[in-house]
Amino acid sequence: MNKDLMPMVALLRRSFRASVVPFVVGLIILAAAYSGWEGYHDAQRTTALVAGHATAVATAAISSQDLLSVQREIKRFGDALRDDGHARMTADISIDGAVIAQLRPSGDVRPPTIDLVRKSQLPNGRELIVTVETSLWGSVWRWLAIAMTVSLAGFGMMLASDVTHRLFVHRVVDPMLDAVRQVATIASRVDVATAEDLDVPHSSVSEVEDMVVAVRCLVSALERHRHDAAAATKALVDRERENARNEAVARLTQVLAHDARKPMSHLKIMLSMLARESDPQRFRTAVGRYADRVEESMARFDALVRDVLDSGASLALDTRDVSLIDLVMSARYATQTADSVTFRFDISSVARLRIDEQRILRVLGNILDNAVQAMDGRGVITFMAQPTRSDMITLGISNSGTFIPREDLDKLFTPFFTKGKRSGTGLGLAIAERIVTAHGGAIWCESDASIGTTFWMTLPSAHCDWGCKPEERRAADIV
Amino acid sequence: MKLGVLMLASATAVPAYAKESHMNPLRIALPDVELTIDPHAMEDAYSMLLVLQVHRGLFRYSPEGDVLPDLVESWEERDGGRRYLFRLRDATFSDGTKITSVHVVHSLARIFERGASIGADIEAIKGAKTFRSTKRLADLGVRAVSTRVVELELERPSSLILKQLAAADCAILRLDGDSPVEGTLPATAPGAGPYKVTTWGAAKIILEKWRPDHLDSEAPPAHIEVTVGGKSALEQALADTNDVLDWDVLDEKTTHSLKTKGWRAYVTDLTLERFVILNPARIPLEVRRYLFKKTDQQALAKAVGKSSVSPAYGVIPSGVPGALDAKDMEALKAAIPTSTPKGKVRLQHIVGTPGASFEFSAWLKAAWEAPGFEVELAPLDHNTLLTDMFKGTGEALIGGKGLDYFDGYSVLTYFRSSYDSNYFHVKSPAIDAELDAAATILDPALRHRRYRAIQHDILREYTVIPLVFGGYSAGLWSERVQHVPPHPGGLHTLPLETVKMR
Repeated sequence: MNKDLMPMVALLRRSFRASVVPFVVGLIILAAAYSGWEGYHDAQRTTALVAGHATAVATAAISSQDLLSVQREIKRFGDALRDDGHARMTADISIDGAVIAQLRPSGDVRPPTIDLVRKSQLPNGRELIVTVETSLWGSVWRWLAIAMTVSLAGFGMMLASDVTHRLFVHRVVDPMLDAVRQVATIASRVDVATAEDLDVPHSSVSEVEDMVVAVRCLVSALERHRHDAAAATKALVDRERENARNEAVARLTQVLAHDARKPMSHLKIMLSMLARESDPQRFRTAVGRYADRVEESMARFDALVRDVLDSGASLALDTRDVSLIDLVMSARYATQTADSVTFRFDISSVARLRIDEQRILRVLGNILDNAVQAMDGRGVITFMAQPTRSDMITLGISNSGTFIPREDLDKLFTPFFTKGKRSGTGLGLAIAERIVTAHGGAIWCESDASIGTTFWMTLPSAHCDWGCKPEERRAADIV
Repeated sequence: MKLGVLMLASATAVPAYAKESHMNPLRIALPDVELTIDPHAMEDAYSMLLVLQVHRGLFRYSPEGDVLPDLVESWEERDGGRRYLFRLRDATFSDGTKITSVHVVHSLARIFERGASIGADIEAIKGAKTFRSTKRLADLGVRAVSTRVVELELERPSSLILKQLAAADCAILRLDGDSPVEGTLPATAPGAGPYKVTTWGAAKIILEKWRPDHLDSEAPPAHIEVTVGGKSALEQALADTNDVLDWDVLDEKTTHSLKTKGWRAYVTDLTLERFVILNPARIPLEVRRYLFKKTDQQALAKAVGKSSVSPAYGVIPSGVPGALDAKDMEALKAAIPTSTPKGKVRLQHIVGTPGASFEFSAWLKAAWEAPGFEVELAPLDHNTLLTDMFKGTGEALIGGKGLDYFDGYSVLTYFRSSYDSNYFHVKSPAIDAELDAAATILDPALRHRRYRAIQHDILREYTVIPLVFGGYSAGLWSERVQHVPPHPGGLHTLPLETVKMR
């Protein structure tokens, strides 16, 4: 937009204001002058007309020796003039100085007037003098009326322009200016800078230009802001990630320290008891009781350490053929639950799996621990199994009563992601995914508020030596 | 589909399934032992082999020893493992009778009523001890919830219950009447297994396949023909009238002969243990400890010279979780002072099978004898060995034992003082208590650790000396058999429908 509305309106407004009085005055003068000029020409024409007619009448009268007819003719002529609109004039017709007739078509002639004399030679040698006094009033009046009308029109236009200006300013310019200011403010906000920093001119030639400049500034600022924001966001994410990592490491360290202390304290208690115990049977009972606890807490610590190690290193799997039901039952029995938790087994598959049993047990253990924690000691955990392809088995573990929001489902397998858990490193499901993926399988989660949460995983099935394809079977030569 | 096949089979006088497959019987030669088809009366592996084909339980074992649901469709574990609900699948006995939860209740009750050895394992079932004396079903924690749902209540949580229910001893039998736990089971009683008994004689037993099974090979044996007694299994094998050899280590010449005939070997019997039972009533502790210390399991396994044989350091087979290792055995022996007692021990052993290349008794005699200490070898037959073992009348016996089910606990319960099947002369309330405690440990790792401690206690009684585990006996199958799955538990754990005939 190259032309601005506001200067044009302002110019019009100022022009009107500045020129209206001289214009009106000039118009009046012009009207007066023009009316005088026009009156003069009218007077000349009228005078010529009267003079011509008077000469003709006078000539005719000389011929007829009837001067009275001159008067009558002149009178008729006067009437005709009046009928033609030449009423505002008087004419004296004299011959050799003696007035022989007078024209008074409309009575008095209002000033200003103009007097014109026209002389002509009659055939009898006598001089006909026609003196015409014509009123300029009609012309002046008409032109003054025009001037006044024009002036009024000028004033009207001025008023209109003023009103238009005010309306324009109020309805267009002011909102535009507000917009400019807002743009500038927004720009300043997004850029964390002041309006001055944005180079938004407040007193430029036009508001529209201001607007254009401001918008450009804004676009530029937004562009800068976009880059800066991206950088800031990345920095923030990095910082948050760093914080989360630090927090996770701190939590992990805490958990490791706590779990490392547990077997130590059990050992300490056991040793102090054993040092005091002299009865062999009680000695053995004490050893048995505390050895189990030490073993249990050391196993937990060992599992934690393995989690940490597995989260970083590449996984070298130690695979062997494992019964699906044995695997599931081992996972179930390794999970401590409240009595009010029911385990359901819908496993009719006779399949065997070729897996790293200890690692897959950790996967199942992690899922079951999460399920037990989420269920708050009540509900049903169901194991399901079905063949997916000839070489894969799908294993599902579902728990009732808990729901994972959709937005959290994708994050479940992200390292250090935890939600609503009182303990844990946040590594469990991330490692579970690593382990299952390393087996060539996949792991995913489905959650429904009305049903509960199910973790599914596909695992490789084992070579089958019965009820399977002949070419897969083994035989051995006699030894 | 399966239901349809079963209904058709039961509705037809001569089952269509059996008609199709008369041509490929599997022939098994067994020694002259007293066989039974009653899962609650069997005490030998041969009977177990037959029971496994004819009867089925809620669960079963695959050839590899995996627990699989059998008559159970799905199940629930409640109250922290103290209560189980089993939903039965739609199945029938071989006479077409539909299997219901009442059959399950009566069959499990009969285990305790008959004092079957598996009762020592499933004593965790609530009211089992009371029921043994009252015989009232109401006292036993096994109830029929509906026709197809059975509830099993336990005194304490047990992580072994499914494995125990999968044992052949826990077969579901067709027991009816007002006193279902009483009486003996006829040899031809219908079972839920894929084979049924058509002939049960002193010298000949024939099993006929009456229904398909989900573990079926492509060509399962249509018949299983068992000859009892008479010529040895090896002689019958060489005469082409036996398809299976499961018990003997063969010399090179015999091995070559069989190989020429197209016999092949498959993995078997890796869990079978050979041991010496020392009767504390006849052999003083000092001598028992001496013999224990002098038995070098590594040297023995090396002397047997088979890659499938490994030293036995405890009573749980190596490879089964909870097994002891060489360091355990070293520690046990290190605690025994080095001294040679004066006197003599009488070592009883089965007379060597023709063709067998290794005599354990001879090796032991050489290892044990020292100046002032003599070992007398006293040969005996298989039935006498069993009698001596169960009656506790022997002095030093070389025996063997496999797994009843695939968990070390199945071996350890043989050392429970309250059961007749404990022929190891271990009568220790402390060990009984340890066994009870071990059964309550749900975490497998912790439970297996406890198994190790219990074995230490058992071995410190010095009434059993572990020798070797594994297939010193060959798993040999004739050329008529195209394929046999590996069955590390031994022939008596192999569902024969998994065998593929040519």
